[in-house]
Amino acid sequence: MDTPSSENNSVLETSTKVGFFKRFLPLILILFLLFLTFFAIFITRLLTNSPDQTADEPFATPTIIPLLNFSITNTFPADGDTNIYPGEISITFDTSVPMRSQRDYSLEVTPSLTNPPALNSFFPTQKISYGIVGNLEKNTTYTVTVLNITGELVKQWSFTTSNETPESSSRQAKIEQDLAIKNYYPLFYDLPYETNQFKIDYTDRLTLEVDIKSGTKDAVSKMVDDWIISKGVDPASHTINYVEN
Amino acid sequence: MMKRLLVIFFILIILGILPITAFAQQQSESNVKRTRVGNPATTGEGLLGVGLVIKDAYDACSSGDTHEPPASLSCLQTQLSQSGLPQAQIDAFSSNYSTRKVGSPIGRGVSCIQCLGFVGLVVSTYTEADSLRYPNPKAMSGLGSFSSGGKTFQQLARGTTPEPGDIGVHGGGTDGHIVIVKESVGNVRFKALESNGNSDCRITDTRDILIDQYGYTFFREQ
Repeated sequence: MDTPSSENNSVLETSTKVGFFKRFLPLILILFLLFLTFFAIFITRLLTNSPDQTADEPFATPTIIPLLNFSITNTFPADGDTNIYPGEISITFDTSVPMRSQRDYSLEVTPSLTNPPALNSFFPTQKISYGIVGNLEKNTTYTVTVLNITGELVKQWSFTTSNETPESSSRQAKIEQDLAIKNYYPLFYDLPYETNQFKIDYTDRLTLEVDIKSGTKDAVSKMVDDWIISKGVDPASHTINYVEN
Repeated sequence: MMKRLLVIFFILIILGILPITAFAQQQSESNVKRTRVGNPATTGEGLLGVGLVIKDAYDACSSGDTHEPPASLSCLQTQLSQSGLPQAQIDAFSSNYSTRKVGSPIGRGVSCIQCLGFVGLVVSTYTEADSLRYPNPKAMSGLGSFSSGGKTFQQLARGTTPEPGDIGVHGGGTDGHIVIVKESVGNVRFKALESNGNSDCRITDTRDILIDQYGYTFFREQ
């Protein structure tokens, strides 16, 4: 049973707790807000996959250990396949461990191909694909050999082409387009482009036409140069013709 | 008591706002849109109209894949019929369908319709005649003109801006590539209806194609 004295003690303890809480409330709030801030930054980076997490951070140069022991699990064409289309095809294979670059293995095709296999994969990967842009011989058995970095045989398989006549070089046309864009139309995927002051588009290889909609030629020229530079291209690499309407 | 309630209220607001801010940043980055300008021509009837109907049929039957399976003639016929294509054109499509499948670049074990096969199938359907039986598109790039079902397609002078419905032939590589122009965009590019465009044996119409000095030659119906 509580006495008046013990009641007083209880009231005193409660008021002491309240006083303690009040005294440290700002500190608790500050710590809590700090926690929330870091939590928010963490969540934001997680959701937006910020490039800061993967780029520009100093890493120690890793020691490259040669990949000697790996196997190939699946191939296309499979070993012994016949009736393979002699036009544009892909040669693919899966590896037991991720390949880090083309230096981890070598690939040979015999008889030799007129158009060498072009790598389509991005490393690291366990699924490697090479495109062959046609010109395979009809009714011919081709042997594919994969060697490890020291030249030891990893896998060898063969396939035989059909008697069909290939009818397209679509991949080759795309390769030629990509090359032409790289060399002569580096702004291809950014054009045509239009603002309130100008409209710009290619008219020929490395040749741009700018229609001036408002402002002086000098002012528009500065804006055009800035825009081209913002795309990572040197304006001096192009002939730029200005048309004043 | 009031102070405690205010503190709790404040904390609840922060807890609510911060995740929303994080999502907002993600959403604002994913919502960035690139605006392309130019003069996309309208898609009309004629060869392009028939080509788009056939593309829609493939989209419905096999998501654009021309291998059989997943594509099938019966499904395509049903789709073409539902689109209102005249029976004579559906018959022309059907009689050319099987012979237009050649090989499979991705080794599916069944043949598919590649670029020449697709354009040939569209021209055959449109003109109601067997047509474009050339070994490859490259063989067409040197032609001055060609005819099908009483319709003549004339090669255009180099530098002519292509129009919807024109047939574009690329002479590169061993065998070349062939498309049907869907729209011209700007001075040096167009979009086209094609097979083997974005990916092998699939009918698409979204790729930006460059008109370069020695790239495409175009044929237009007279």
